[in-house]
Amino acid sequence: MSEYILEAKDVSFAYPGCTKALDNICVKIEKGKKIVFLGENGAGKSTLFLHFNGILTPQKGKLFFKNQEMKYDNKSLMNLRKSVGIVFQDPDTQLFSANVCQEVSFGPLNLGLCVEETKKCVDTALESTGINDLRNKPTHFLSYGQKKRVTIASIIAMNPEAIIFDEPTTYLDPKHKEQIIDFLEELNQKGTTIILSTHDVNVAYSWADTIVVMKNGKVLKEGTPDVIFNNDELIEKANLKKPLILEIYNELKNNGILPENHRPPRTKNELKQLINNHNIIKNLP
Amino acid sequence: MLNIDKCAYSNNLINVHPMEKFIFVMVTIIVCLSSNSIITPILILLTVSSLTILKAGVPAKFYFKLMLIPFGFLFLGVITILIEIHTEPALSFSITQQSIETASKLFFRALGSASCLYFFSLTTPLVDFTSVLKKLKLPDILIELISLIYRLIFILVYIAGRIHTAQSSRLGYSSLKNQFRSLSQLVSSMFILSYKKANDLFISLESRCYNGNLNILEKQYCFSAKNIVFIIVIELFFILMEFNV
Repeated sequence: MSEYILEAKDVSFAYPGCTKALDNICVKIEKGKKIVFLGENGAGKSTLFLHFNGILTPQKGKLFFKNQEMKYDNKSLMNLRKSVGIVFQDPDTQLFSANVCQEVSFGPLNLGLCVEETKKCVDTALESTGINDLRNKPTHFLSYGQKKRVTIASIIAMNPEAIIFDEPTTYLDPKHKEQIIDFLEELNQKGTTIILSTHDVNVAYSWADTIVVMKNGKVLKEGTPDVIFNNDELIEKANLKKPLILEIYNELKNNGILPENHRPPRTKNELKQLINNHNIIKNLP
Repeated sequence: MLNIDKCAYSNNLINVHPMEKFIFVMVTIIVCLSSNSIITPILILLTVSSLTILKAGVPAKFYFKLMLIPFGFLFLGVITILIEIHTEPALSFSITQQSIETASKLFFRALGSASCLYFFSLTTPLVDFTSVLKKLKLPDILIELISLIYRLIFILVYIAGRIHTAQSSRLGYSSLKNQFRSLSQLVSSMFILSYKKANDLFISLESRCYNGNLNILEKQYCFSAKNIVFIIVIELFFILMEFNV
């Protein structure tokens, strides 16, 4: 049986004076997996993420952390936030300190670690996010990409079991985007559960283990990338686009150029390999 | 202000213990302000300025521009002391030997102290300053307020800049009337935005187990015997100059 680190059961939430941000949401996050949340702006992804971290409390329904119902007293919250970190979309809202090293040390010190241990955590976090050279830089002179990495380091320093990333790749150039995605992959290999929201269907398709599609505060569907993106009705309903790789593959398959019973390629390289293996280019008229 | 901050992070004295700088500056200011001669403040002004430019590597042009600010204020202030107004028997103005002396003493004393403060703010990042305040046992809440306000100033300046650009690109500042209207909108949206920013910041702190104290690692510095000797020697020199004259 698979182990679930986070679970939302019939969770509803509305901001004051607004319609429901979350409407009877049921979602299970499997431990050690890469889960991507897709959905248009205002679908309720960020609101759900804040519930996972115990910042917002559900108005209806229940949340579970490691199969235990979430409690909202100080001790339980400490425990939850120690295990589930969240990296916010805008790094400027997260960075409070004037100095990178101090910013990263905030979390570990709150966990009650001593100075020596905190130093170790900070060093590892800065090292693994590749920003060791920024250690003594003031946060307000950093570029957007650098700030983003500092916010990620400040969460990693707390060594959580699961990390939530709210649109980690927005505003990033292609190179840094790729770096972040590779880095998340690396984190996941080490056993961290990664939950992220994005608008980039290509990233979602090639990277996720599970995709959750949301709209208007509801979960439309949860499933593997193949299942989600081969469901045309769902894609239409959630205002998503088909990933380019899948679209090319389908086109080739429908025209009889590729055999029917093949597993659809997930990445650019897999697609290239498929094209080469079937000698498609050589067979062109 | 941004340039002062840049200097504070990129000068050559960044690795000197902030406490050493703080003590040096405070003692020098006290000597400067309590001096009765004109020579000591001038000496302090020259020494501290050359320390800032030569030792800390602050660009001379930038430093002189900064010094112009207190210079301007002082100049205007000193004029009122320099010129004595008499109403008896008739309205008349005069400059006496004594008024020149008082005015010049005041002028150099204040300018000397200003150079000391510049030395500190141009060589010490705020993070180091707050660690000094912590050692001086200032209440945590004040120190945290100082550092949060400092950080938020940059965010607000950045947001204000962006709103200003967005307004200018739609001719928001093309006429006097537009200028007033745009500025009022800018200020009101800054108010709402700063409220929202503060809220977001609080959420992000909470998600990292914030417990009411902003715990952060202090940078470690070592006291340098050489610097301490230098401070003692130079302060003694200033004080001796004071009594010799």
